[in-house]
Amino acid sequence: MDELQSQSIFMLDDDFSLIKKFNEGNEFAFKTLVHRHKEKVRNIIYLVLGNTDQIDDISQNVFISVYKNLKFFRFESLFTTWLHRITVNKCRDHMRRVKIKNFFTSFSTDEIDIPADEREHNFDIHELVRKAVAELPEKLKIPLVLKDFEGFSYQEIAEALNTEVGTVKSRIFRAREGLRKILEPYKEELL
Amino acid sequence: MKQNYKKYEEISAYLDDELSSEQNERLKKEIQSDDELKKVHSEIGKIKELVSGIKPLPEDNYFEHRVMENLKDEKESPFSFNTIKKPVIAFSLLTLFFMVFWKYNPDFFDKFISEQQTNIIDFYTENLQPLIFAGTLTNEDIFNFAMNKELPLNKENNQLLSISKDEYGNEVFEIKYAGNASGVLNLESFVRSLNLNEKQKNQVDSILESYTDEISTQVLVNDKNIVAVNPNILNYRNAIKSDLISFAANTNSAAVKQILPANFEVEQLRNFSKSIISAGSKDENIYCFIAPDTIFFNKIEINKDELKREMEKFKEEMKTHQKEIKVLKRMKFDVKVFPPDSILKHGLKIWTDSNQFRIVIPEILIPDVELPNFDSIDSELNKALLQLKDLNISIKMDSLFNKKRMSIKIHSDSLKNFDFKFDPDSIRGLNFNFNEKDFNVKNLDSLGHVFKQFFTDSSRIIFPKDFNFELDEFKKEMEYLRKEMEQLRRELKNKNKDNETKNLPIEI
Repeated sequence: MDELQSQSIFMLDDDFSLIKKFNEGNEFAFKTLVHRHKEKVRNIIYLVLGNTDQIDDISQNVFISVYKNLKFFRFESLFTTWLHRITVNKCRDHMRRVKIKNFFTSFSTDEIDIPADEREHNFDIHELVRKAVAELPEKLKIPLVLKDFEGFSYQEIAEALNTEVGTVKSRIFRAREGLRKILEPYKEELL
Repeated sequence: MKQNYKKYEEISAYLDDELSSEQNERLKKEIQSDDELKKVHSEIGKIKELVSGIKPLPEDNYFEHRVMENLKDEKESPFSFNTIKKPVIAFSLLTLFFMVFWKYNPDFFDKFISEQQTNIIDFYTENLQPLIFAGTLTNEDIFNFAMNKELPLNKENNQLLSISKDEYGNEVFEIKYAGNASGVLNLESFVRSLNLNEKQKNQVDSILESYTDEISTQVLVNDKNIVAVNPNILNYRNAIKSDLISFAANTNSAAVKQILPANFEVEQLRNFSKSIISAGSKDENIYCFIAPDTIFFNKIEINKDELKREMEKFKEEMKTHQKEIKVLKRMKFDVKVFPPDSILKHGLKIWTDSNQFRIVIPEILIPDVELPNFDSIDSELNKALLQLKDLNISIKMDSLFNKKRMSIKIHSDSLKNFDFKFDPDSIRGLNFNFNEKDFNVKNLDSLGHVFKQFFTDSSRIIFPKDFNFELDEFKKEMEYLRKEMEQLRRELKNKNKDNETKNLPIEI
């Protein structure tokens, strides 16, 4: 029964065959795997952490971790679920480091501060929303990004974050509610 | 409110298509019939749309190449973070530990260093004993110390403590082997010059004995070849000298007045020794420790009552247990050593040369005593005292060499002039004449020692059976020796010239 289930997952996710090839010594299979998922990983980091110049470094670290741990992958869930769990963990590590750093230096809160003239003339809705998302607490913005930007189901998000579906559902709603409040001053332009 | 919150959450899930078909149908009807739900649905829908519409990052076409390159570099680099992770963590934890430790124990290292310094000083000062325990100090020694500034530290090795002054007038301690001044003025010539009777002679002995114990405590020694000298010994020396001059003036005032400087008043010396003794009676004293590998000043405390008892006991036992003197030398004596303090920070001036070293005593460490302008007349006084001696040594050896007479005369107007004359017929013309300049060389002591042995030890004179043959040999040997000595004199003169040009000591 387990074997049948495993085979079905195998058929659904072509990533598995690439992983198997990599584990057999094919380095090129890993390169293909990176090529296939790099944009998702980069954009999750981009949205979760905000516009940081360390996106590339963190993304690289995600795939280096994948490379080192791929031999331990047990083919029990989708590769993307496993990959996004690593990505989220790397984002959390980074945020923890930033928190420690900010503890010793002055904390900057100018993320959503758009000058009045810019609001009137050069209004970039996408940038404004991205900054608003970056303002959300970590536990709210990660499920929101995984849902609305990456299109994950609640179940996949729950697996990636190692939490309950009900919790994911609640957090996504609270994230949207938080965004609505943050973007309230721009209601006329946006909503 | 809570009910509404649940409903809004359902609307959010409805928009994400995460409800069952039944829930979808029900909620759809509710939204259509309720304006508020319709508004919430619209707003959440718009938010979802905005988030979904955020522009993604531009695609990075070379990302995977960089990943592969990084992996390759990491494989090739022997120092990846993983390999140094454990040491780095250990070092960080250690650093953290020390930071916390320092925060709560800021004086730890100061205390630690101070303890170590104390331990080293304890090592050097272990088993320190007054000089008298290490070797007997005679009245002659005390007299020589007062008049000639030399105190024997180890008679077996001819080791002396000498006191002098450098060119700047600073008091200087010298530790050296043997000395050439020991005969400048000795106790015997002092007694003879003043025509002292037995009673007066005993009085001189009494004066000298009264200082023996004090001088002994001013110089401490131990089995590690450490010599600890109290700078106050300089004042004691002047005190003894003062007492002796006072005594001489009382005993034979006519003679002493002739030799003392005209403006010198003997009266001012009378109370000098009392002030010296009171200055030296402090419980805590600073000693100059002279070790084979270091020199330092440190404060130590001597239990003087205990010392007095021990000295008495020691002297008694010396009389009865002469043979066991080595055992007595190991006697332990209570010397309290203070922890190092600012004394150690004084700059020390030390000179060394091949067979001695000199230490300038910082003036601050010499106990201040009201001196009767002693220093200014010191040199004149020394010259005057030299006149007390009337030294004319005449050694005559009546030889059995075919009834020929060989006489060796040593006479001098000043002890630094030696005139050796060999006057047997068989050694005609052999004449050694060394003046003071010739003897002003580094190894004078050892040279003097050789001569002393040669001319004073009668056991060295051998009487051979075939005297004529031996005498010829002897003449040849002496001729050879004369040539050697002339050559040596020339070399010494040259060296002396060099020394005069390079007369500066090495300063450390």
